Amino acid sequence: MLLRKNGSLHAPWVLLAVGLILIAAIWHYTASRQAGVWLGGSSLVGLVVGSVAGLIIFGELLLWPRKRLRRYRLGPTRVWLAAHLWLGLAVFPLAWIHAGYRFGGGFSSVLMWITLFVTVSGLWGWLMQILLPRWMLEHLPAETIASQVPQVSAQLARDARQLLVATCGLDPSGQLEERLSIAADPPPALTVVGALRQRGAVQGKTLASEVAKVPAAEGVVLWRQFQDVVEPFLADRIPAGTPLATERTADLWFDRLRSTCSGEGREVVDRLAELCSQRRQLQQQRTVHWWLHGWIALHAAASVALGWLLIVHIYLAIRYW
Amino acid sequence: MQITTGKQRSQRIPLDYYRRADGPLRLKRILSVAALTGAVAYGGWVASPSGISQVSPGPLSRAHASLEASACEACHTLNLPIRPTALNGQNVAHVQSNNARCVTCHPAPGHFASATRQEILDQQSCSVCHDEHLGLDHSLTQLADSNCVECHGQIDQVVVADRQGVSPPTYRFAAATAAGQSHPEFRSLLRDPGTIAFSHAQHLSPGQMPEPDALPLRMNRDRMPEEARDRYLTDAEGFVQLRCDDCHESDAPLNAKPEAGRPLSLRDARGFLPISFERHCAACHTMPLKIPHGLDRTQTEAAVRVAVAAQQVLEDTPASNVGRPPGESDDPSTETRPLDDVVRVRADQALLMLSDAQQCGKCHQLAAADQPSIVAPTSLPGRWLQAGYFAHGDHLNVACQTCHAQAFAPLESRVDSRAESAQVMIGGLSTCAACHQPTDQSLPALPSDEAQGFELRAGGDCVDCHRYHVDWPVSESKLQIPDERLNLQSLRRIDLPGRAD
Repeated sequence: MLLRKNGSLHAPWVLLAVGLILIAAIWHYTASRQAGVWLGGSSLVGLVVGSVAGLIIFGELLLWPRKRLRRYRLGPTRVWLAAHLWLGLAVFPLAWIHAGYRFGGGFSSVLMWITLFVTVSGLWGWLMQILLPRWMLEHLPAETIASQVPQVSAQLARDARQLLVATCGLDPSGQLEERLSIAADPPPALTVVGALRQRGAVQGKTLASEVAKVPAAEGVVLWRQFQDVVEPFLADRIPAGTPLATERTADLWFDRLRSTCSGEGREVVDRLAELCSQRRQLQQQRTVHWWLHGWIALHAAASVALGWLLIVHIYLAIRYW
Repeated sequence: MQITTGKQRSQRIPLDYYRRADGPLRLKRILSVAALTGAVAYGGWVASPSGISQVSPGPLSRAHASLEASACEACHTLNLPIRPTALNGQNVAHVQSNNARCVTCHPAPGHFASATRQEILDQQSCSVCHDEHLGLDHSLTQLADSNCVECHGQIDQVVVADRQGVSPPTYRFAAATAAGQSHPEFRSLLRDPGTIAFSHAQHLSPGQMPEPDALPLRMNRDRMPEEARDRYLTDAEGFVQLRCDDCHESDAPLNAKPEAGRPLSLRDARGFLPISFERHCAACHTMPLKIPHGLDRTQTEAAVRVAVAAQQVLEDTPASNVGRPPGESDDPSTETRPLDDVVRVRADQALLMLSDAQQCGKCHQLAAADQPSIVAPTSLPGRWLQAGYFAHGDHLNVACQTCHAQAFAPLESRVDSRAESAQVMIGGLSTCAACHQPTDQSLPALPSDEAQGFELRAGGDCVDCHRYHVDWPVSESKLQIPDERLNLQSLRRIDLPGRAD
């Protein structure tokens, strides 16, 4: 799929990686057959293959400084990532050939396991980067900048409050006036809220306007339910056991609330349900964001450790040739 | 703050949001610092003497396990390759430097160095064969056949020009290998060099007289000296039934290692102690005169005269005169007479009898009169498989008949000890091959005696029978000595340290 879409970008690196592995394996097999033993890292073939693997590892690590030095325009990021991906996949096979298909003693085993971990974590990340954005595009139309989810959630809570003030009047208990200091600021006839709209298969965020027209009795009910259930859910930290956590329980809860309202009140309930749906998507996005980017923490940390231990390995390998 | 316009809404996210680390980025930084710190600490420890064992590519064998902790330099020359397969590992200076470290503790002789080309010797690193770091239980001496065949399969390219063709066994093996054949037949079993006439079939028969008409002559305990009776078993009819170990006594006591802390075991046996007439034959073969074996002609004649004189004195001296000096006996008629003449005559008669076919000649081959001994040397090899190594202690689970079937063959006619002795009583290569086949499947199988019917094969590697560190100063004079004698001497020499087990 990736190659089909970006064949010209990936193909050279795929060929290079596969070629390196094949050449190393054939050369190692031939030399080992001549020697009568599986040659290790100190042999000519082992040394060359190990050097190639080491150079690739250090080259892979250059992705980090390259990110810091973007302003120098060191080639397109896509090319760097393609090289990082495919040459990185070649590192473990090359390292294994270098070691004569053994993991070796304590130190070299640690190196091999870290190399394997870096490779697997990179593969995992690659899969995540392919699959999750596609899934998010389909399932999270309310997606925002991940680091801004708390702010956006707070905005949703404010939108909901404004909606209630605009449609149901001020909070009967007076708590809201005190909290929002809006007593001196009479509710507008028209308020603006963020909303999701769908036309056919296309979804997107829009701004929607509402007009206050909910009867007072229903306003009291809506205000109470808003303060008890909806507002805590829209806030940054979702309380445990809230009925709005999943779409199914949320629909049931809003249906019950809707049944207590007249036509005008139901429109307000629909709008609140929409805001809660956005909040659920933001929460899902937060989880998915960790899956999408959390692996980098492990991948990068292991890579840094691998880079340093590789230097130690080179020093010790020359010392105890 | 009440937000009512689109512009206000768009400003809810600060423009520099990307400068602030989010969760995954913070985690990445924390983990990266932690991982780098850990790697630096681990790398530093590994490079230090206390953690240097981490660098070991694998556990050392038991023989070198004590060096595992921190004694890498006992074998490794820093910054020099030690493996022959390493880049520049066959550099002569490197090989010599590495070998010098091995020889510090293992002063083993080389392998026919004087007959080997210098360029081959220059590349003979100890680690060519003795590969280390392959685990605690890895044997440094149980080598693959390829280690040997590498040179012995093309021996002409290894041996120096003026020694080409000198060692027939080596060249026979090389020829067989080149022709895709298996190990040649054991050359040292082609003939029996011994001069002793001995019938195993006769001696393994009840009473040692298999012929039906010899029933009265069959040996039983009553005809033995009293002190020897308990050593031998008898059959249901009371006739002596010899077993193999009545005569072939294990040499285990010579090979046992008391320092190993285990009791003496037959597993220590490699061969057998030499046959001794006094210990193994005299119980049945009583001699009229007690003449020790192993004396030369002069000593034998002296021993015969002494024995005859002693016998004569005992026969002619009354019991009452025993212990009294001549001339002091109570009865002059029984006074001891001068015995010289009598003894001389009887001794000469006895010496003549020694050369009789029924005396020394019954078992020994008599030597010519000008030889230093009355009988020819027995010439029984102390070790039959002279180029190889065979330990009886490793084959305790195999019955004697398996390999020595000829010794148990039923008599088809009258006993002919001389003819039977000319026959080698050891099975050949096919007998070994019934159990032992090359571990390396690419090598041709040994011709097997399938009649033995063993399904499970033991290993059949070169090193199971042969030793590598065999050498002697090859000189023209020593080259005149038959090969088996040379091999025997050298193999005996190297066998002294014993096997790894």
